[in-house]
Amino acid sequence: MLNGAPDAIEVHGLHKRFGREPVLRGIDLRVAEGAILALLGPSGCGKTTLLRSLAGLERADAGTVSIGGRPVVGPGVDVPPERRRVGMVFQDWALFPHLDVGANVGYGLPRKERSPDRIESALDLVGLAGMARRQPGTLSGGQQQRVALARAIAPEPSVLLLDEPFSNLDTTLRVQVRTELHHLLVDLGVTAVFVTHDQEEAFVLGDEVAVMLEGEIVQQATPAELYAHPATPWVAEFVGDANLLSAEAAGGSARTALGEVALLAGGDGPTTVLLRPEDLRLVTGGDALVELTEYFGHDTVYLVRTADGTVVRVRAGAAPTHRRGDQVTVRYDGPPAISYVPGSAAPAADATTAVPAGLAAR
Amino acid sequence: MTSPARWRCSPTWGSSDPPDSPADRRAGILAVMEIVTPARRGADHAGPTRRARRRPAPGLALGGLVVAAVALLPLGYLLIRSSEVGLDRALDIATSERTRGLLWRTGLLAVSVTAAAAAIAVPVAWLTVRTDLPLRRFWVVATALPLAIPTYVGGYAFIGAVGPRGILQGWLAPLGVESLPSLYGFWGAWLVLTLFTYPYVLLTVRSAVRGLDPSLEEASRTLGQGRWTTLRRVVLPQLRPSILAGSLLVALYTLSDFGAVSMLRFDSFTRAIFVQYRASLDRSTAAVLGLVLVAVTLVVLGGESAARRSGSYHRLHAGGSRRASVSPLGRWRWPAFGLLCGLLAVALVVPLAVVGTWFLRGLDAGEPIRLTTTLVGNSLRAAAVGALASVAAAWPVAVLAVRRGGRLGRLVEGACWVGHSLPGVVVALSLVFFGARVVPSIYQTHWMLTLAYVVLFLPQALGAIRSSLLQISPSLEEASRLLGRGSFATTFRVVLPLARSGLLAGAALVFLTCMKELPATLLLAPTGYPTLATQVWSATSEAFFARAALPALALVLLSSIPMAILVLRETDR
Repeated sequence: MLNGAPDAIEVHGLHKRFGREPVLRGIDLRVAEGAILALLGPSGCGKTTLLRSLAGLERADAGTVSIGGRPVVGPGVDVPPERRRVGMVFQDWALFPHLDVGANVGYGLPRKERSPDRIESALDLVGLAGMARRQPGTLSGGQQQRVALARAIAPEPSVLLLDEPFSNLDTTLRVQVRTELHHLLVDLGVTAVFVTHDQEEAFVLGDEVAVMLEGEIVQQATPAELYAHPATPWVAEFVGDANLLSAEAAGGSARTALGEVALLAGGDGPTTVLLRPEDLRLVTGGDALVELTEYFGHDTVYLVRTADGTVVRVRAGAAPTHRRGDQVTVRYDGPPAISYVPGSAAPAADATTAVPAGLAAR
Repeated sequence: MTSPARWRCSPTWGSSDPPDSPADRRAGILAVMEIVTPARRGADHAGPTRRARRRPAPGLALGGLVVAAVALLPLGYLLIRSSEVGLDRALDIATSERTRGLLWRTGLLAVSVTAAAAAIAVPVAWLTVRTDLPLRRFWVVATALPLAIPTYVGGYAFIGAVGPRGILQGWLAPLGVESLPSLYGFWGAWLVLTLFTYPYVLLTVRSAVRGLDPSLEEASRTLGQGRWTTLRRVVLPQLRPSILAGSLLVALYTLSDFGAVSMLRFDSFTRAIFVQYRASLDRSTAAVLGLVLVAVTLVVLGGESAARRSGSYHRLHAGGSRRASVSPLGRWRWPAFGLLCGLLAVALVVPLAVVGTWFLRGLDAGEPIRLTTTLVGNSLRAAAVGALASVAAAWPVAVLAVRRGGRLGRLVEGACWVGHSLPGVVVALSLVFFGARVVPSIYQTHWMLTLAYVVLFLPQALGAIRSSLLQISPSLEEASRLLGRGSFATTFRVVLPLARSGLLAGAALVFLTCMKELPATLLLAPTGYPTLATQVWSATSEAFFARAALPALALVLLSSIPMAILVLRETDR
């Protein structure tokens, strides 16, 4: 995508079924050279299968994959994993238990390059210098992950794949390891694709995020774009707190339970409007009722029931200023809102099935 | 045999290992060995961490100590008996040219049988688990079945087929063929032992192949290594401990095998000991030879455990395992199929066909079948008494080891495994000495035979009871105690009912093993008390092949029961 250079990864129409169960249903994906892509989706959406298809560990039924401009999957083409120049960090690290740390890291190097110096420099890169003679079993979870990473990048792959890289770590360790990995990926400038079901991980690490649902990529965009302009109500809810209110649109704005809201795109008739909780504001006095307050330290979320019974989440900075039982008014204080036309054949599995109105024009 | 699922060793109460931890898998392999027969002193040290800190009940401790003493009796008495010879004389015997010859021949046999068994078993294990072999599920069961044929029955089948006066000789005689190449000696013993013991390696390796973490192979592929390199650099090193464990079983079996080597007249240790005892009045020589054989056994055990210690081989991480993919064999698919057919023919179909043929010939010749009912009765009775006695003896030991732990528990349990690593012929010989010299009143009675069975097969009962005890949470016993039941009442009302399946499984296992046991039965059964096993042996030794057929078939039938359970358990997973 950057000034005409070939994308590091290009996937077109990738299909895969396990038995009669379709897991990938026409995947199209592009990853620019040096970019980090997050594959985000709920469990069972096919994101790991997609990653394994890129690595050559699963054989796709149809479609094409190119890595670094070279076709690796396609009609009559199926390059075996060992010749794709793809590094992979497995969910369970998959460190060879019969080899020490150094031998694990040197495993993928050609025999003549398998020198202690080369291994040591790979270990140094992940902050494990001097650990070459240790057995993998004696390392902590975070260290094992770094060994797995060093092993994957030592042969200098053109693409690095990471399968749920933080799922096997303690929550306390996760944030720290995530930052370390982020640093390393940015420093190396390697093209990376990682799988996660955690929206925060995807947003923090990913230059771009591809959201997957039921074997399809629903939307691929930068995290900010994804958050601001989710393609479907389902995506809107999956990537963050969302109030989806049914409304009546007319002449560029919509009548909602919270009053008149300006819309990003026109269209008339019944619609669903996305209002992020942080774009809502509470004013003392009114006919809405504060049902709960949830204090998170950096901010507070209020659950507010409006006069017509709609419950919305409102996020405000700092400590709670309203209490349970307070009478308030909810105001929308954000940019023109996204709206979705209900009832069309969108991929969302949600009851409020809808497609974005006017997003195509952006 | 009730609910084999209960034999699974997880969850082990009090042990902190996660499911599918190394300890768990070790216990699984151990369970395989226990079922298949010559179980071993396999150290499952995954002992409970949470156990009563009080002293063991005095009755329990006493019971355990008595059992331990019984288990150590044969080895102890053999030492006493040998020491009577005098050190100089004993050393003379142990280093004589004859002993050195025996050592060389027995060692050579053990090494060749083990190597051949591993060479058959490892590829078969891979083929039957991880490839698109035609009829793969059938082969999973079929390739393990030769284990159901006791080696002396296998020996009988081969002699009955290609030995002098065998079937093939009968066919060829009209063509003027006077004699076939002799089956007797090293190659015959090697062939028979290999064919009927390779499943020991197969079963242990196969469970290891199933347990392989497929992401390791995938990692190797993404690191630029092809299929064969991955096999060599990742898969085989992972399988090494299971190959060693299975090979150890085969080596120990070969060292202690008496039936096949005797029938095939290969002069190995067990046969020499037996002949020495039977043929001469000089029993000291037999005792010293027995000790040398025990020493060889210990060397093998030590070597295996040293080799196993030299590396850590477990899944580093519990989660994230997915089912391994199946490798296509391509153009090797049908050749592999053909090879397995050949193996099955030699190790199962031909032996059974030969025994069947001799059975029919016997019917034609009016061989009395009624005799066999006496044999079956004798076998059943001896085995039943042996099973009951073994379970009764194993109970206090298992409770001590699992619930109390500590030095006493380890000591008693360890003592029980000692008897099990002794060759049957050595145990029998020692008990013959002991009976004749110390307790003539029970010599040549059923007591003596039962004693031998207990020494030899106690660990099988112990293993089954132990794993079922491990599954009973100690808090159940504690709850019973807090509800006002004494330790005795708690045992009867809580522990025994919950451990029932383990007790039954242990009893069934020992029962079936006793049925097949040959050397101890031969030496210790009361005079005029033939069993199925001794009948097969004596009839074959005198070339009355037809007379051996029916008892042999009965033994194969009985042996296939634990085999069937084992294989079904294995395919469940």
